[in-house]
Amino acid sequence: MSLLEVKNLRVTFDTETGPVQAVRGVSFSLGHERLGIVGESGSGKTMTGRAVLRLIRPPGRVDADVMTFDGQDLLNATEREMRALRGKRIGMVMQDPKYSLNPVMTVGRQLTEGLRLRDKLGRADATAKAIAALDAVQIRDPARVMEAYPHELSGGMGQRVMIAMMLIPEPDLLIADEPTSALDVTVQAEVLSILDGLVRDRGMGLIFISHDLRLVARFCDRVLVMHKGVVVEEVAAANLLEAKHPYTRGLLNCLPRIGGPRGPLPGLDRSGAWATEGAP
Amino acid sequence: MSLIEVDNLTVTFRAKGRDVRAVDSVSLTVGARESYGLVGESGSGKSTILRAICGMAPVTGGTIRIGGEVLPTPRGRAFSTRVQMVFQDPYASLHPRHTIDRTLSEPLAIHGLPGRDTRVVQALTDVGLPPAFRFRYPHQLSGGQRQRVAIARALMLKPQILLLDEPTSALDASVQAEVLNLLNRLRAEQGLTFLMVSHDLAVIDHMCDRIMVLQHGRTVEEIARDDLANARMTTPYARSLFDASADRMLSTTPEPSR
Amino acid sequence: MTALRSWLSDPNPASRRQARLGQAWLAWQRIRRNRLAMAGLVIVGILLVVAALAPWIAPHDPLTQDLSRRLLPPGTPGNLLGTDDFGRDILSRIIHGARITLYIIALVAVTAPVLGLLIGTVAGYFGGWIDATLMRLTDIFLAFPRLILALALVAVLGPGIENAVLAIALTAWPPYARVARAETLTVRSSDYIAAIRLQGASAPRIIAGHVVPMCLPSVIIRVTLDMAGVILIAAGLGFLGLGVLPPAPEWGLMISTGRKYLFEQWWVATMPGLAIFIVSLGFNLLGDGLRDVLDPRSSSR
Repeated sequence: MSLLEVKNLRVTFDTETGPVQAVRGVSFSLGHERLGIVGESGSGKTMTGRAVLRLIRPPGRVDADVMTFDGQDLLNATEREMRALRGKRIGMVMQDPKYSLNPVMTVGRQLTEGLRLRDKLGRADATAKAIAALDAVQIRDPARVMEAYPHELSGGMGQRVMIAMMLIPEPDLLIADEPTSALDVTVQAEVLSILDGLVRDRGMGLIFISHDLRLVARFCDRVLVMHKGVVVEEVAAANLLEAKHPYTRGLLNCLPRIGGPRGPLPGLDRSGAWATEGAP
Repeated sequence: MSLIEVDNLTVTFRAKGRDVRAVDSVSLTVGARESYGLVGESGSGKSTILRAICGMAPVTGGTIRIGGEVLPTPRGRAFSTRVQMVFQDPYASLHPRHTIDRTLSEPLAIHGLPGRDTRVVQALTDVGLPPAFRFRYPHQLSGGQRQRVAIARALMLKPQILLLDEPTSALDASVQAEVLNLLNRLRAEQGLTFLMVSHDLAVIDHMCDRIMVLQHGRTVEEIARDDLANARMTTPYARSLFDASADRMLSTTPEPSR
Repeated sequence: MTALRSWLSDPNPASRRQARLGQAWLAWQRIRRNRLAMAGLVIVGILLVVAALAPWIAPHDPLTQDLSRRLLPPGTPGNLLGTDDFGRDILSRIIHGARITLYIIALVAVTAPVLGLLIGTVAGYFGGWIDATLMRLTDIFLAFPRLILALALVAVLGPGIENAVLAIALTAWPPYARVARAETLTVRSSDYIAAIRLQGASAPRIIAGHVVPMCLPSVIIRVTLDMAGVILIAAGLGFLGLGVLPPAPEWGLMISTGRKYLFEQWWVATMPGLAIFIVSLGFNLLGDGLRDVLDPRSSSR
């Protein structure tokens, strides 16, 4: 039984020069697992994540043959039904916490607001729950962080607060768009282990969107490699480094390696048929 | 003799009446035609060292010498013909309302150098851009092409030293490879000296001969390239950085089948 | 035509001029799609044409009096919009008045924004005590109500069109300085300014060549939106007898003289009032449209 089922997803933008397809027929299904979506900028990976939550603004359009979450049709859901899903059952973590947290509200208020409004919890209960969530993302001094404003937090701390905020309603699916790209490697490792724990312990589904192939290979169960809005390859993460597709191979080869040869790095050969195939 | 000598550099920012030491007694020397790397996490002061050399950070202690001479403050025009910088974000480092031509010819105009047309076209060719791009605006270029323009601009005055502040961290992997190759080729062709900042150990390892690891504005360890590849670091912090970058090691990726 | 169009939209212009014209053409394409802005542009265009051709399209001389034809209502043959208390044709006076209005607008538009831009960018770029001094000066000017300050200046300098313009310009620059300074503060810390500084550029060069172009769009928008206000202040000064002197056909002055007959011969004051209203509206619509086209924040893509 899959949690999320997407068939032939398309995201189209109507521009002055005609429609442009950012996502062109992406299909996947997700269980209680970690699915990675990798690709370069402009590959449509972010659009795919947002399309699932129907967060594409006009002039963008989302269509698909099938898009269901836990049996519920996302394509024909009303805006009201979508709002009930967003945040509560499907959470999303964006790349930069600076733009996702309200700068003039303390972290504590932002964390408890949803609990008090939606779940009708009392102040003490909501605070206790928020502190527990901050604890879960390994923030050492949750009481102090509750009082802080977003600008008083470091990047890593802000990102963890974002994750905590998304986790309070205990979503069944978390879409994380480059959640660790703005973080230092050591903090990145921490955030990943938090996400990992949630998938393992709570059976949450995770869509992990990233440009970093090696990170995805290490962290996810399954990987979709996207290029120009199309999934060019789907592989088990463990086998990503043995991927067959020339694009995936090219992306892997052009990365420098510690102790690698000093000569020029191999470039990405875009002359193959895959690079132009079905291009708009 | 070393080309760049930084001795006990200290940079202190004043924020809300509190002094913050961004760089604390850092010393380093870079020889001519050498490539030197600075690694560390955010807040380690690695970029601040580059800015201090350019006179864009409040130096409160220590000296910086280029070619044996202490740098004057303000840096002056002679400095700009010796040292140039490439910035991290190619989307922010080019003037959005100037054509590529204007961006590249401005340094020539400032220094009253002749032959604008030929030198701009030459500079574009040097960084692998078609001369047809000359009158484009930055928004008509991709990130990688913009970074090439930024590199071309830095080289317009034929400096000896290039300061590179995370020059590829905003770029896609395949574009990063192209830009790193370009930088290495230009270094060989023009005999440049690099002082490069990055948070990516693999990039630093690929580009640099010697590497300094920084944390909280202080030097943790200086490592030669061979010692890094063979994990011969002596401090626990350098080792933890190395371990966190373990997926960037040669061994985990099979040799590309060429 | 198609050859010209493809030349303008060529992604690889061959010269500086082509690149610049291509950008202008793109902006024109964008403003053409904005109906209200086009309406504003048409109104401003008509004002320009009318002012340029005034002696040829005006049916009568604006100053010739004919006391036998006093206060004729609109629609009278020969006097489409009627006549005023001296028997002068109102339509002809409005048409000639367009020249005076345009003259005032043009003079204000080339003085106040330039002064404001200079003060704002210098204050923003250097910061410190220069910023503090210039901005306090700006605050002092801003603290006075504009019309009162203009009145005081005209009272000192004496009435007349040039003095009215000078008074308006001196009261109009502080908002531009504020806008330019705010814009400069964000531009100043950007990497491209750091880069040009590293190339050894002098402060005047950076301000003129690199900071001002970034401030220009917001100042131009502001100027266009302010033009309505300038027309009104000029009219106000004329109305109070401190601007243009009679018998010149200035719109504010015309309203002032029409005031006496407002209840019986309403058209004497209403017709120039309508002219002011339409032209102000035109500039406001154009300014709103320019904001959509020029503002770098709204059209970053």
